[in-house]
Amino acid sequence: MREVGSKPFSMGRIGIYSALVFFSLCALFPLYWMFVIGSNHTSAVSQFPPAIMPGTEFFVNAGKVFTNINFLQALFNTFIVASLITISVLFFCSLAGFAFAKLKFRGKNGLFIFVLATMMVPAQLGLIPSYMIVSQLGWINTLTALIVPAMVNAFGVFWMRQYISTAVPNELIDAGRMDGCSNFRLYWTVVLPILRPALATLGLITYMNVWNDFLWPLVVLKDRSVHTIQVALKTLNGTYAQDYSMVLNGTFLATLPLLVIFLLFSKQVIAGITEGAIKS
Amino acid sequence: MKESSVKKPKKLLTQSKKDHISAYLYISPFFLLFAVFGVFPILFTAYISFHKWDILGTKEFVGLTNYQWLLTDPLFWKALGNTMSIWVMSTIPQLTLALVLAFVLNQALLKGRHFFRLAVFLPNITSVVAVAIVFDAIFGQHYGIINYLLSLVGVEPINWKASVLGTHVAISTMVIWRWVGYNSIIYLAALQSIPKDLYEAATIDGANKIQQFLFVTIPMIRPMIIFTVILSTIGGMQIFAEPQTFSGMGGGAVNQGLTLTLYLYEEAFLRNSFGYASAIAWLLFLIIVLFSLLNLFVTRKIKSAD
Amino acid sequence: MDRVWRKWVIGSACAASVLMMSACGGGEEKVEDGQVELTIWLWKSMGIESLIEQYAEEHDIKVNIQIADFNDVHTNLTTALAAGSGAPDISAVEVKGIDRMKANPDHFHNLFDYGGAEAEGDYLDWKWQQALSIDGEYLLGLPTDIGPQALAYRVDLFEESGLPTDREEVAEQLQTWDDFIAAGEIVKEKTGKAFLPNPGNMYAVMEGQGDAKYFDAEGNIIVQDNPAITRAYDYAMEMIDKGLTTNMEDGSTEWSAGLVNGDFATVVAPAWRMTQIQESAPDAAGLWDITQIPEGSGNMGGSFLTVPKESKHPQEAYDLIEWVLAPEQQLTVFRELGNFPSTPSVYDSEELVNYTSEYFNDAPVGKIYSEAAERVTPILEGPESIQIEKILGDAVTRVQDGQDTPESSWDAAMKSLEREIGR
Repeated sequence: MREVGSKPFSMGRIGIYSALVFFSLCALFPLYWMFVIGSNHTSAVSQFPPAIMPGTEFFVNAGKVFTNINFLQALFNTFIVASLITISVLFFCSLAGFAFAKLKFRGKNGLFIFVLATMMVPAQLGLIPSYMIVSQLGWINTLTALIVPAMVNAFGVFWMRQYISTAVPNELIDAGRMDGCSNFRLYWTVVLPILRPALATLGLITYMNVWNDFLWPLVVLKDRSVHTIQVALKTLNGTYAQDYSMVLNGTFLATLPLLVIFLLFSKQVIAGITEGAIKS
Repeated sequence: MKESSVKKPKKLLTQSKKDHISAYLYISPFFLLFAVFGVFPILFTAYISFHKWDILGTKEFVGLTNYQWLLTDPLFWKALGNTMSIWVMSTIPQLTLALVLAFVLNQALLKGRHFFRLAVFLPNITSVVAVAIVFDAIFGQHYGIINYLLSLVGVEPINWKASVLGTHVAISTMVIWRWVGYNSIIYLAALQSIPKDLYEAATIDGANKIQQFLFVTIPMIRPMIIFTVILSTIGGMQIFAEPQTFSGMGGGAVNQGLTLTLYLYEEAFLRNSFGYASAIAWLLFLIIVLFSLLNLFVTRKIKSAD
Repeated sequence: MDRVWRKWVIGSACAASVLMMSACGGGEEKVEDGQVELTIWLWKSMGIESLIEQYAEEHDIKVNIQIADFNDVHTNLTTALAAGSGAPDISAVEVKGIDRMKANPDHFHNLFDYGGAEAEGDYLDWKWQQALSIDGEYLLGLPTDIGPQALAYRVDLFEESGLPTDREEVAEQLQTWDDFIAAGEIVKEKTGKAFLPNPGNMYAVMEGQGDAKYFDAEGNIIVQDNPAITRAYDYAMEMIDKGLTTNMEDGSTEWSAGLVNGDFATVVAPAWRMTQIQESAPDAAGLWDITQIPEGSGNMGGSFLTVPKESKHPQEAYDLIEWVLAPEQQLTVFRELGNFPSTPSVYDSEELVNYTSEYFNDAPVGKIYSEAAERVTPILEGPESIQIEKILGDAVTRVQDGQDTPESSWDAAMKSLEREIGR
């Protein structure tokens, strides 16, 4: 796998493809297995040798998911939360990243280290104090409780700063300044277009994180009407017995929209690669 | 950055002023939000860590007692050891694999890039809840898939959940599985920013792919490598969902899966010792800072060695 | 391309903000003037939702039932009580959860103030005691279901081993835990199968079969001096030593497979475990039967409905739970879901007495579990029982997993226990 030959059909090439196929299978298996169990009876989860063929119960299990939770409402809520957070994160983080990477100002290093440090605070303990703030603001049982605190994050600022510092040459900034660009115009017309792969990646990561987050949503969203998909799926857990087929069926269904989102975003990343391909 | 400002001393004053204003403006959203939602939890935690508080009753000031307890607490040290072990076992293969994978996926001539890219990222899309159920089935002693495969080649079934090593291997596998694709997507974005002519120049100089990888790719995306190393440090030190779902309460009978975050979470919400949990949180915070600095130092060293 | 990208961002930002406004506005539903609205936290499969709705309709109140995962209900309640806001009017709390609340009963309305004393006679005495504060002054909740312990056994394995298979005769044969181990040895010898899925399964019930468990009547911890506990530990060790248990955790997927494949011949089963077994191992229908466990019974699990202090309508909330948890309603829940009633007056009812389970070989499980319920000796659980139970359970598991010897594992547990109490 590590022997990368440049000739087509060389041993190295075959090695690379087999390694990639192996990785892909490993990566795909759990998702596929979710589908297998989600389309079988619950006892399939504990069969031996393990169940590997899809069953016929997919729609039965999906039916159970739909009667137990308000699936579409939850999907819609998640969509709103994830979209709003992603858009806001892309804008504010790239702006802050630009400032940290390319502008000179007093206290820059100190402030940046502070940004990093905020990521290191364990989230679990913040639950109660954060809950206190959000309930003071009257946001319990509203999607606002999820959206506002997540509108800009240290991860994104850090990411954008790192990316901008490699991808945007200083000469380009200087040239822009010669042309009399204001800082914001520099950001908007010079920096932002270069950031496309980084924005797409950050967007993708943010979207996935929001979509799959449950620790905080569980604490603030109790009403069925505001449940996000992960909160809703969690209510499928039985107390004494687990209906694995139903749970995995619901999880599988909830993953499908993410695939679409992924394809949308990764098109942006791939656009950059294709350009490179044409060039060479 | 510094060089550019030195080059143009004429504009320095006005530009510097402008830069200050825009910079503070641009970074203000983060700090504003942090002031509202971040500061209070941190201060609150610090305050509580000097108290004995069972969440529902009255707080009692106990000074540094919680911290003193912590230093002599065998469970704390066990949790720290587990966290470190899982972190090392998961981070190193995870980042190395991700880097190689990103490099390969970035090759213009690679066929089926679209598919492979989607495939490697899929684990990160899958929710942790489902991952836990799936991995439970994979690592089962009697009916697990891995032991089944091992039995085909005559290996005795391994009780993954019971032993320290087995648990750490299983949890690390979950982490690696989940985050390799994620990190390679990050590297992939960074690879986009490398000018193609650098590779062309390297090819003309007779560098093969491995040399290109080592001497062009790695130095060029060093900021992103630092980024991923720091993030995996933070993520690894705060690992929670995987051990919780794999090992259950207390991380199992010999606390084989007890990590620091799991410990602090259980102290807070199971034993209701919120003061003690807060002390763990603060110590954990310090440990993460320490390790991030250490990592930063090491990654810097790598550069100067080049 | 760039322009398209930016247009897309701006366009979706606008669309999203419109969506957000509509989403945030839509959350609140109008409550009629003067109508009482009660928010209720439950977890799935408590089986009382439709009863609550029926009551609400008949009494012209509005209810907002919010379902969450079992553990999340408890975490959320703790968070809300600690923060002083966001608690519901009624919350379900499991028996271990209520033990932890007992140190601070003032977070709840004292149900004695709203007529709780009159309900006492409806419930099993030991279950009622669990709902009282330590001084007995405070009633924290009304009892829902209980988990009396019985024994599920695999008929085919018993038959193969030459043991009796009729449930009366099995109970006769397994009168003491010594009998139990002896039977296990026979099964092991004749079939090669284990007797129990895990040693903790037996240990947990034996621990509670004495006059006291972890605490004496004054609330002092007595683990080391309680002969019931040391005996339970010794018996569990004997089971492990003789190879009569596997290491399949209760409720795990391996356990489900073991139920179907017959990897073990018995399971100590609280009433709710019938549903668990049935749903986890549908393929084992007809293979299992149910009888009494040796040396009395025990209880595991079961819950309460409480009224947190924040509720502005404690009387209405109390009236609702009193009706929902009254004997007839508990019988309805039992009929639909199998959750076992905590109200002994229905134990003689035709419906319960004649209730059989097809899955469990047509065993009269209604009758078996009501007998088991009345054989439970009341014991004080105490506020730290979760931690202590975990420490002792771990000691047993360590030996089963081959990670430690019986003696050193016990010593380690005693050390952890000392630490636990000491702070």
